[in-house]
Amino acid sequence: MTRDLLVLPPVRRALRFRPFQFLAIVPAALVVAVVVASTWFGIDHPGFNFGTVFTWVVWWGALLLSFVFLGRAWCLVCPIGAAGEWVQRLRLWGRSRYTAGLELPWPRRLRNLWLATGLFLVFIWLDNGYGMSNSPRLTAGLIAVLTLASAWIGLVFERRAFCRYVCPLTAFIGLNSLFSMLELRRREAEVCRADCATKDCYRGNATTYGCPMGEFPGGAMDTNLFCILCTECIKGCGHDNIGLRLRAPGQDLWAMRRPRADGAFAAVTVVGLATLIPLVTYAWLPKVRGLLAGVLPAGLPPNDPPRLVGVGLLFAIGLGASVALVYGFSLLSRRAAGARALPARALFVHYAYALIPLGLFKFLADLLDHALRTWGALGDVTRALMLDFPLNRTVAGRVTVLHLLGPVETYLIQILLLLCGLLFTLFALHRISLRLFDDREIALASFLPMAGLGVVLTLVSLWMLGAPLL
Amino acid sequence: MLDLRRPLVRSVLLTTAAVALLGALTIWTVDGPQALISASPGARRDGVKEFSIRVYAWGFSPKVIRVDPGDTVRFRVVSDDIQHGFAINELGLNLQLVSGREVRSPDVKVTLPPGKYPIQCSTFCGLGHPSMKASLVVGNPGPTPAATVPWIASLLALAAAGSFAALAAGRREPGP
Repeated sequence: MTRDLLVLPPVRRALRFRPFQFLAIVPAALVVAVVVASTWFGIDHPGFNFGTVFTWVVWWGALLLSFVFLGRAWCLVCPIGAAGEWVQRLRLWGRSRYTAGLELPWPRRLRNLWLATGLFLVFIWLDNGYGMSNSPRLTAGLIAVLTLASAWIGLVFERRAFCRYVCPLTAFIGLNSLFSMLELRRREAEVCRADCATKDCYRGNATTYGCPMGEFPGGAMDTNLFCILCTECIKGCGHDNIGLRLRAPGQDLWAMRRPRADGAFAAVTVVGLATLIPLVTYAWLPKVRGLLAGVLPAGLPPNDPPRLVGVGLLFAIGLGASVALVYGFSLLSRRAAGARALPARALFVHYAYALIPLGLFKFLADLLDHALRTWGALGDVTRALMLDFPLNRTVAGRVTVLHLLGPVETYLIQILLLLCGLLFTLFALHRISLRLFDDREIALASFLPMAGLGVVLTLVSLWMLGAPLL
Repeated sequence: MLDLRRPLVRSVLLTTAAVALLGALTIWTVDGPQALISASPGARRDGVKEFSIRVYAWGFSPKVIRVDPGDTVRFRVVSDDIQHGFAINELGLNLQLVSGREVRSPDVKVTLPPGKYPIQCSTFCGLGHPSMKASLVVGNPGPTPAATVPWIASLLALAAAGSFAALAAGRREPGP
């Protein structure tokens, strides 16, 4: 059941308005400018700096929620991606006849999510090793480096190569957006196939650009994975055949026609980062750090080699365990389903995407705890920003202690979120199994071990979050 | 008699064994160290109970701090790695820590009723931040009902998955 928002005249007018995306980016760019000023010049403590609290609590929380309701809406307004596009197009919103870029095609071997997933892991390691989200200066540095990378790649390569293949968050955002309740798709396949010779949604025309992400909305695009909702195809389609539809959440997880190994690995990485990797690190980091301290020279934190190597090592172990677990359950699924089953690798690739809700709802549960228990800090840092706008150099005082819910009540909400994630995953796994196998009994036999995996990962999350109550 | 040639029977058996094994491993990994945690009674200094606490990603040492109702307490807290927070909301405390530098709390009189209260990191510090917790135990509250909640939640997860599988098995209409 879907509802096309483009049948509503105000929505239709707004999305077809040429400067729509630019006008959406401007407020986000202003906020990012304030964040950069605050993190670069402001007080160098994450608990007192507006920029770090805003970025890693408010923005991060809004990003997670946007996956559920709006897909890759952040990419629509992201000023970092826009920087690359603006220097490439030499225009802020209009169709330019000229380009400042070399317009080189992105290397064929890199047209996948492996590079982005690798950079995402490096980003997570830096974050947890050096405390990126924990340092105002590093947060500012990260935004600056990403903006420069986006601009440089925009000048060298065609379309938004940075956003599609390089941005460390593209896999994380794209995969979680598969869950979204919003989709942008062609309305009638036949219109695109038979009536459209120009394929303006992909190639562009005199007044609009082709899809900046290199997707083909009139053809192969069947998921939200790379759709940044820039609305360029809505403006460019001469047949008015693009719709922006509300739908039931999670549909892409099982409707994907061609799941790929790079996306499946990225999905397992994201789910591992929410579940097994924190479990392994939480349980063993002090011990591993102690062992490594006997081998490696100690340094002043955060430049402390035993700790940095320990975090990297445990992340690698946690990631390896996540991949091994999903592959192991795929083997069980194959064994259970019998000789007619697909190879375990194919089952891994198909089923991995269905685990995404487990990760997404765990991330939401994590943030809920932080937001509900440290609510007072947000007021403090906003006040500090207002007193010394936008530099936020105010000398830190005491942090206001204000929590909205106690630990047990918070945990009860977290349980609900995690169970929601589990049920969405079970539903997606079941639909995938029915797609893969004609025989219902074999489909169910293949589904059950993967459902068991979903239960195990949910138990990991429940016990990690429930540990303080024990 | 179970017919192991039937895919569904094989699947149920394999899944049950795998979930039981990995579920027990998970609970042992999280809950096992809890039994080994030693509580800190603190040291008396000028009539104030003083606690020295080390903070690291992602935990506290010691993990349990014991006080009596009416005690006046003081915390000397130092972060071993990155920047963290040390918050006991119920005592109105939220110390912001910088790597390697000791931060001393004001003296606080404990007026809380006997019970177990969370100590948490109040600065977002990475993936394990949500699990970075310790406990302030006031008096001798005994086992708290809250400790059973993760067990109940686990049973709920198993029940939800079991019900879903039963419903899926009971459906008769063809798949997509």
